Parts: sequence; C-alpha cells; structure tokens
Amino acid sequence: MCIFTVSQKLRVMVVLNSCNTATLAPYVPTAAKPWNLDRSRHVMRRLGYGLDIVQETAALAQNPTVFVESVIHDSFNYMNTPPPAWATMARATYADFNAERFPQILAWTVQSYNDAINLKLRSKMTLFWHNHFVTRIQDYDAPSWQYQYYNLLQTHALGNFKTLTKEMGKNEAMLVFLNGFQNRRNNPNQNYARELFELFTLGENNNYTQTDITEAARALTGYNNGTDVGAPITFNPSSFDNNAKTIFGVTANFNHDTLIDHLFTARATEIADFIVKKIYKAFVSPELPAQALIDTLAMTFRNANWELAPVLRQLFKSEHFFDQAAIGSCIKDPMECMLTFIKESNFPITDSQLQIIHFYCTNLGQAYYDPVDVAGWQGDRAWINSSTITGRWQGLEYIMWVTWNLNQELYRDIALDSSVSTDDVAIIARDIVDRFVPKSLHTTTDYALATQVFKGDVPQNYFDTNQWNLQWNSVPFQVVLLLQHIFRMPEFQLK
Amino acid sequence: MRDTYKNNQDPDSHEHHEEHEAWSRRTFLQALGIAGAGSFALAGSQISSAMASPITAALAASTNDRVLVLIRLKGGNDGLNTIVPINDHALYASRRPSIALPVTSLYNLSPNHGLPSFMSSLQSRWGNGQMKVVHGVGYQNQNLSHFRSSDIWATADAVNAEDTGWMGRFFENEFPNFILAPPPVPPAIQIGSLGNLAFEGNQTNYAFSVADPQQLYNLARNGWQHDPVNVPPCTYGSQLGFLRTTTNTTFAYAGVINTAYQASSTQAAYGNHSIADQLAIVARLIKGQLGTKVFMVSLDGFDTHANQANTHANRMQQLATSIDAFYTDLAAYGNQDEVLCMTISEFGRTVDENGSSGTDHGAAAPIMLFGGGLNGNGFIGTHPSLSNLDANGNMIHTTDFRDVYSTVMKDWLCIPAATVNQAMLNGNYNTLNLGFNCTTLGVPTTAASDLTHFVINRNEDAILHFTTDAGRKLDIRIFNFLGQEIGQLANEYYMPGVHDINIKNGLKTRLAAGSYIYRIQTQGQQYSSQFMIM
Repeated sequence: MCIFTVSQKLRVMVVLNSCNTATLAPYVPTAAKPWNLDRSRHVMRRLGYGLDIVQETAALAQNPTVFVESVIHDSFNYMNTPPPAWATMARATYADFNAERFPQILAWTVQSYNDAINLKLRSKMTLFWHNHFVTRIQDYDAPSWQYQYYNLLQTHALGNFKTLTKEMGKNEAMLVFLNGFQNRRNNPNQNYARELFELFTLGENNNYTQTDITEAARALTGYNNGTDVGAPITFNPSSFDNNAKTIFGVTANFNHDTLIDHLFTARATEIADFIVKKIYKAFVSPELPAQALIDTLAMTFRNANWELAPVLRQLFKSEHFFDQAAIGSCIKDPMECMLTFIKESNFPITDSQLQIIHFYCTNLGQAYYDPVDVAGWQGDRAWINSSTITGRWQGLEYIMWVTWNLNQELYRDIALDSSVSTDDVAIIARDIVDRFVPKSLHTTTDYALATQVFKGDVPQNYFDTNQWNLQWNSVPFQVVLLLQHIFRMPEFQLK
Repeated sequence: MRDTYKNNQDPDSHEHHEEHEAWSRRTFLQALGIAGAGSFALAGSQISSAMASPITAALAASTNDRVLVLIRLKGGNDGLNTIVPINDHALYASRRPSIALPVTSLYNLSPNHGLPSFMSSLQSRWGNGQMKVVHGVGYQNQNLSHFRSSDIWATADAVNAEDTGWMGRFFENEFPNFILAPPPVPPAIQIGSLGNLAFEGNQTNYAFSVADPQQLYNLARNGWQHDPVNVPPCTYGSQLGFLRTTTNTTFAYAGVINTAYQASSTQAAYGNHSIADQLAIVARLIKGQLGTKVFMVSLDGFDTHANQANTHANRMQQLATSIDAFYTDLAAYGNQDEVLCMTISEFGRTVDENGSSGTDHGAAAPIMLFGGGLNGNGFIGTHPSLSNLDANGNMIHTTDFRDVYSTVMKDWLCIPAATVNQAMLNGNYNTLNLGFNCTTLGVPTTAASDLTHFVINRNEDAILHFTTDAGRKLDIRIFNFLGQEIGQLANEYYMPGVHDINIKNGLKTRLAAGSYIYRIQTQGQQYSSQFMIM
C-alpha cells in the first residue's frame, strides 16, 4: 500500500509508487476499460466542474478522445470574460475608493465563480495558474488590477507558458505583490527573481544559484513607474540597471524579456519537467508516474515551444489518464466540492448564492484571489482536516437548503436522472450513490446502508409490494436524506 | 426564487416565525449515517466541558439513571390484535373474521383484555408488574397519512406543520449552547426512523442517528465508523484511507459510545433480528453508563394492509421476545427499574378487516409501557368503543398522545413542568397516573426562556434581536460556521426589554455574506444560534 506524505516545508513531493503504468498512447475503450459514465464523469470532474447527466451520457456517444478534444477545443475558444466597467480605473477616478472597491472586488470574484461553472478547462487552468503565479489581493486591493491579473491568466491559460511568464512579470498585481515595483537600479529587490526561479519555473534549488537570483533581480529592474493604485505600472529606463549581468553562466545586459528568453533556453529541461509534474499532480494524481512518462510530456512541451494545449491533449487523451488507477485519486478542493455538486445535481445557482459559496470556500482554505502565501494552496490532503471536512458538509447543506426552498422537485429529478429504475429502491439508491462517487464503493455493505437511508420514513411494506415509486410525495425528501448521506461519505471528497 | 428572509419582518408575526423556522430547520438537517447533529466538534469548541445549565444539573441530580426508550412501530400498529378485547370479543371477531384472534388463545391481562399468544414473552412482565397499557391513544382529527401522522406524533402539533419535535424542543432548551459546546454524551440516540422529527430542534437535531443497528454496533465495537485499514490498493485506496481516518475523527461521540459498549456485556439471549439487535445494543450502552437518557429504536412492518395475520404476529413476537430479553439483560446489571420503554405508532388500524385479510389505516391504538419503574401492571384510560366510530370508521381516541408524552417528561424524566409545557407547545396536557413520579429536589423554575434571542435578516443586515426580562450583563460573541471566534459584539449591561444590535456594524471586522454563529453568555449560562448574513 502506498503511503502518501506531503511536507509543506519541503515543497518537494515525495515520489511514490504509482500503480498507474498505462502509457500516453491514446485511450481505446475495451471491455476491461470501457468508455462509461464513470469515465465521462472522470473527464469532466478533472477538466471542469462536472456535467449534468444528460451531457455526461451524450459524451458517451462520442469516441472518448474526440470528446476530450471537444472539451479542450471549446475551452480554448471561449471568449475572455468581458471586462467590468472599472477594468482600468485608478483610485483617483473613484468618488470613494474605499467604499467602492470592496463590492467590486467581490463582484469580480463572483464572476470568477460563474466562469468556473461555465468555462470548463479554461477556468480550471485559470485557477491553476492563479495558484502558480500567486498574487494576494489583500496586498494590492485594486479592482482594476484584480481584473487585469485574472484576464492575463485567462488569456494564456491554455496558451503559451513562456508568454504567460513574460507577461506575468510585468503585471501590476504581481509587481506589487512580489515587489517588482520596488525593484530599482540602486535598490534591487530580489523577491520576484527568487520566486521566478523557485516557484514559477524551476523549482526549489533546481539548478540556479543565489548569484543567479541577484543578477536576475538586476535584469528585472525598471518597472517602477506607477502613478496610482489601480493605474498601469510602466517601464522607466532610468531606474533600470542598464549593465551586464551574468545568469546561468552567460553574461549580457539582460532585461526582463531577454532574461525570460535566456531562462527558457538555458533551463528548458528543468522548466518542462517542473511544470509538467505540477500539471500532472493537479489534474491526474498526487502520486507521480514513472519518470519516462513525465519526460515524454516534457518533450512535447518543449517541442511545442511552450504551448500548453499539446501537452494537455496528449495527457488527457491517454490510456494513462483513463486508467482505473487515475480515477478517484485526487481530493477535491473546496470549490470543486461545492460547484461540482451543484452542476451534477443540475441545481440552479444565483450570484448571491455563489457569494456565500465563496464565503464557505474561503473559510475552508480556498479564498479566490487570496491564496495563503506565495507558494499557493498546497492542495490535495492539505485541504482536509476534521474541521474542514465538517465545514464542507455545512456548505453542501447550505446548497441543499436553498435548493429545497426553491423547488423540491429538483430532488426527484436527480433520482429520475440517475437511474433507469423507477421503483426498485435498492437499485435507485445505488445509482444515485454511484452518480456522485468516483468509483463503486469499496465496502459493498455501504450500498445496503445507503438504501436504508434512502427508504427514509416510508414503511417497508410499500417496497415489498412494489407500490413505492419515484412519483411518491415522499421522494424529494428521501433524496435529500440520501444526498446528505452521500456527501458525508469519505469517497465524496475524491474525484 | 422565493427568498425566505429578505425585507422587513415584524419579528412577532407568524410570517417571520415561519421563515425563521424554515431557515433554522434546514440549517442542520438530521444527519445520517453515523453523524448525528452535534456529533462533530466545531473547531475550537470544547467537547468535554459544556457549562451545565441549572436544568441539566437538576436533571442529573434528581433522576440520575432514568432512561426512556421510545419503540417506534413503523406503519401503524393494529392495536386490536395487540391488546385484544375479551369483553367485546364477539363484536371484535365479527368485524374481522379472518384475522380475529380466538379468545381461547389469549392470556388474560384482565377480565376484559388479553394478550395474544405470539406475545407470550410479555406474560411474565405483566405478571411481575413491569408492564402497563394506555388505552385508545390518538388525537383529534386523525390524519391517515403515514408521513403527516408520524410528523404529528413527533412534533406534538396536530394542526400546524411544525418543524421541531417534542424531544428536540426539550433538548434545545436544555442545551442552549449546543452548537458551540455540545454535551460530552449524545442527548439522544436514534436507530432507524431517519427523517423523523422527534429530536429535531430549530438549531440542529439532538439525536445521534444511525440508519440501522449494525452501524451503531460497528461504531460501538470499533470506535470508528469507516474502516481505515481495509481499503483497496494504489492511490485511490491510500486517499480513501486518509479520508476515512479524518472523517472518523469528526465523530465526537465515537469515543464515549465505544467506552460504554466495552464497559458492559450482553447478559440475555436475544433473537437474531433488527429490534433484538437494537435493544441489545441500547442495553449495553445503558449498562455501560453512557449517560444518554433518551433512545429511539424502530421496528418496521406494521402497515398490514394484506394478510395481516402472519406479519403482525411475527413482528409482535419479535418485539415481545426482545423486550423480555432487554429487561433480563438490564436486571443482570440491576437497573431494570430505571429504564422505561414506550411503544409509539403513527396510528392504529381499522376495526373492520379489508378484502385482503388485512386492515387499513386507523386511529386510536394502545401505547404499551415496560419497566420496573411502573410499579405494577394495569390499564390507563378507557378502551375506545368498537361501535361508536369516527367518520372514517375508526376508533375514537380516549387519551391524547401528548398526555402520555407530558406525563413521561414530568414524572419519569423529572423535567420541570414549565419546561415540559414549553416543549409541548403550551398545550397544557393532562398528567396521567402511570405509576411513577419524581422526588422534588427544589428544581429551579427559571427556565432559559427569560432571554429570547434570534437574528432578523433585513436586506444585507443581520440584526440580533433579543428580549430580556431582567437586567443583565451580556457578553455576545460571533463565531464562523467552523466554531472559530471572530469577535466580540457586546459586553455590557442591558436593561429589561427589547434590544437590537446590528451585527455587521457592531463588529470591528468586516463580515462577508455567509454562515455564522452568535453566542450570548450571561450569569453562567450560554446560548448560541446559527445565522446568515446575506
């Protein structure tokens, strides 16, 4: 049995024995590895926040790699989220900046939640890069910068990683957060240079020296021209260190852009390996596969000149991704826990409810725009303790309650959608359970227990005589009882 | 969408009350599986040292070891074939010829009523003065729906769609700070009857609930619910093991239940079926000194619309043998006089049999009580007439079920009358003579109700609205939904009367829309409640 450990201090994942020995060859369904609902759900729980049953079933009509391609294609082609009215407003243009900015920031956060629900892999990758090129809004607190940072991530989310890196170093939120704004010729600030290597491209202590950091900081100087909170920060040649720097053994008068070019040339192997592993752990499994598989993806990444889509295509269409060992191997983050539940239950959701879900996620450790520190959310098991687990249940209960108050029939619909049976209580219970957990329950007696729960307060004889069916008035609340039981299952926290 | 709590609301209006109730009821739906409401500890709350209210202390002092076990007969028990008329036997038999029990097969409990042969295990209980029967229990305007009538029996409200239960209201009063500081043992344990409202309060459900006895048995025996070791291989299994282990730690009561279970043993021969399993484990927890005072167990199968004879006999035999074993089990420990069992069912059944050798939903039916604490055997009340029936052809009740509830709360559990009345929605029910009473120990009559408190949501504001009958100093704090303190809202003296505090304005920290808890601390007592900011 694999023992999984994560050390936040080390920031180096312990590489363990992954059972997933499948290759990157495109997935071809077989009897042993069928293209079924478990797998279409697996795809959409990783590449998005789930689908309703109609869409999941429709996916099965397609070849799985064609389906994955369509998801990636759609995600790639979504228009950027339109800018809000305040997208470029600086503090001075506000009547009352302090009173107005927090509602705007909150509104844009709610918009980000809406995007999460709608933009599939595009929104997942936006969040992935937010957790990679971390900024914390409490340090910059300007609605225009928040939008611009998000827009940058969204623009390149499925695009070119090198371009994203280049643009990110000049992004206002990042310049403020990692002190690029204060990094000037006579007063260099190493913060961004360090994180550029340690967190954003190479990984801790991965083939760079302290001198490389110091010299890189000099190359990154000059972005110090800021006029106001929320206003653009531009390059000022007079504060740029206009002299030669020696980085990775090469001496030249590097500036921001040429530094990035040099970095990606001199350290291509390390960068590809580092980023591919990060993507793998976020989207496939916390346990890394054989290095050879990583190497193949890394080569795809380099050969594509840092375009992300080819890597994602190769990975998400593969036998490896569809392997049984990959299904259910990742712990949902708080947003996935709630948003996937909403989408898969086909519940409507309003903006004010999303705001409250954001409140829950924040208290569960995932505050969009405000990760805990520059290293980002560590994810997976770091999300889970006895307090956050019960907090997740409370957030899910909130969703259940607003939906119950809205329309109880939505609960009956879940049962009708999940099962072909309309009157076999055990089969229906099993189908509803299986709809929400990543694979069949390991302890099979758990299905009998779920059936007991689903029966609720309906006397047994109505099941024995086949009188009970899904049209009974008792059914919506029976589904409520069962759903509450399901989301308290440990399995429910896995995707 | 119908927002249930926007706009100004007169806090005393029925509409507000309804909205308040609607929100609160669904704040914590009855938890299932092994999770009973309050069974998980919020971050930062101390399970071990809840500040005891005077009522809790009095309860502990005066009743010490008394326990109530509610035995729910699910489906509507046919009372006429349970306590059979002997005096009216001819009429009885003529109305249900194919299922009537022959008078010669009965054991005479009295000249007028007999016990069926399939309940023979209870003969000695009657004989030893450990069994009583309350005749004709029901309520006015009998509702014939399983769900509605079960709700009526659970909520003690036959008119309104009440969301809280008789026991839920009592526990809510007893544990006003339950969310932040639940008691060290579950107030109640419920096996089966999921969705039943008996233990439902406004804040939470006060029973630790399981769907079936096997679940409770596993928890009691192992101290955990989810097997942390038996997991599949590979990453999924490793993750599952981790999640199971963490989930297990959330069940605050796993430890005490396990301890009580291990501290005792089964000292009687039970059958191999559900009600036997349930009573066996209840006996073990009682003997193991768990401290939980109220249990509910469930036996299904009483909705005997067709071919009643065998089903009903089978069920009642299971019940009878299990109750007999239960008291034998308790007697081995010595506390058989301190445990009272009481059967309840949502209704009785029709006097007449139907065309399928069964009976349909009826009205009045007997409640059976068991235990040495009854101090004798006997009948309470009058058996309903078999000929003077209601408009549906059902027996008319002669005892309101709430009289039985009230009496049990007052004279068995020794809950102060004012608290009982509050729990019973001020119905002022009668006290019956069931054979037991409480020694009065100067239980203080100041209930927790001289401080009423709730939050009104007005647009985006949350107003803490409270009324205090006496002047008092209040320490009011706000917590997040995980039980972590956010800030102090007030710490000052309030004159008698009505007060409003705007929570968002009163706290120095900005509060985002979401779910929170307030706690009022005053004169050694704590009251907490969940609320939302919209």
